[in-house]
Amino acid sequence: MNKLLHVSKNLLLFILLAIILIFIITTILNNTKVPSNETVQKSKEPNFDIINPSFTINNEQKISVKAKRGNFISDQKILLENNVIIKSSKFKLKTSKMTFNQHNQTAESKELSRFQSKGTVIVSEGFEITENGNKIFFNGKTKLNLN
Amino acid sequence: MKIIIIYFFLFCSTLQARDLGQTEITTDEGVEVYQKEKYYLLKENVEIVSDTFKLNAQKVKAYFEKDLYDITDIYSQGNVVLESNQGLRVLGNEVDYSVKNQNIEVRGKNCFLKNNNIIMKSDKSISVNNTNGKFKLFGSNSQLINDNINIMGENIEGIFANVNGENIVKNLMVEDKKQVNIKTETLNMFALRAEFNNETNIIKLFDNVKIIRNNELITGDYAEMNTLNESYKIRSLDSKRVKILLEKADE
Repeated sequence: MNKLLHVSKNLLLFILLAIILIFIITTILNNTKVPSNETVQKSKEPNFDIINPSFTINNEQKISVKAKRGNFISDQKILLENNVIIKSSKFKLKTSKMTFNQHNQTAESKELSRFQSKGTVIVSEGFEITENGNKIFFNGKTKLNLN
Repeated sequence: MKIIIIYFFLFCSTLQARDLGQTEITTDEGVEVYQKEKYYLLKENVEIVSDTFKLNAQKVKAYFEKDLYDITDIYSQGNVVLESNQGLRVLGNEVDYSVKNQNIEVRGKNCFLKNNNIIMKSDKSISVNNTNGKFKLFGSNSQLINDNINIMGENIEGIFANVNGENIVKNLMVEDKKQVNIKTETLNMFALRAEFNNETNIIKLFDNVKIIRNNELITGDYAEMNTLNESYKIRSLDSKRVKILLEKADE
């Protein structure tokens, strides 16, 4: 028999079982998601206004905001989703969902967030950015690592 | 699926253990960062762990110089416990710690500071500078305990030096409007003011002096006590006379 075609049956079985297991977990996770107010709202308005939104906050230090998707939830508020990144020359802040208020140039997130600046990493359960980026409040249980 | 992966990595990063040289801070109610003012507020059950010290408090205000990691001063409030790997243990309601100047100030009732073999207690404030060795205890029930000596007074000031890993009090001044008390294994001394110099090993006692040694009681206005051989000189400045009372010991 050709050695190249000689594959262990046990290995094949293991790979097959692993694929099935991952598929089942993914399906369960997708189906058991408890719909929050925002997701209910989203189902009513599924069309996102902006794809790959990118803008800057007016400030002494230029702060850029990027995300994969954006949606106007009111005249002033934009809901940014998927890989939301706020970046300035001093720091980078990542989260999965964030609301940005155009009027007072504030940002808010209630999702797990990761802040990174020189020698500093902050992981929190959400954040608020006010005063054009001067004040950043990291909410909930928070962990800072300083080098 | 992407979200799950992002969460997984973020979760893993939170579980990461502290690396050498790293300072890890955890809080229950978050952090407020003020970039212009260059400080941040840590709220509820704050824990700061670094290679050299560990601090627990309810609220901490940390000032930084350039970036957040560059801490210069730490102001802590609420059941503060500060411990260093160099034998320092501090307890108090408020603790200010200057990282640059190595200055520690403890305030509040029952404040406590232990620096190796020196123990300091006070109901108002204790301050210690680890660079120049200066210390000050102020307020009622201020107390300094060092090896075999116990000093009590409203205001205790002095300088300590680290000799072979042991803290030695070089100079000391104690005063109290009511009474200063210095206790050794064999002596119990009282006055309104006392001074100690480690080079001469002499304790000087001023005003309303009272020395109790075994069964003898010596009173006067001024006394000098040699701590090595326990010999003393006592004199009265005014018309009062030096009084010595000897009690017969019961056998």
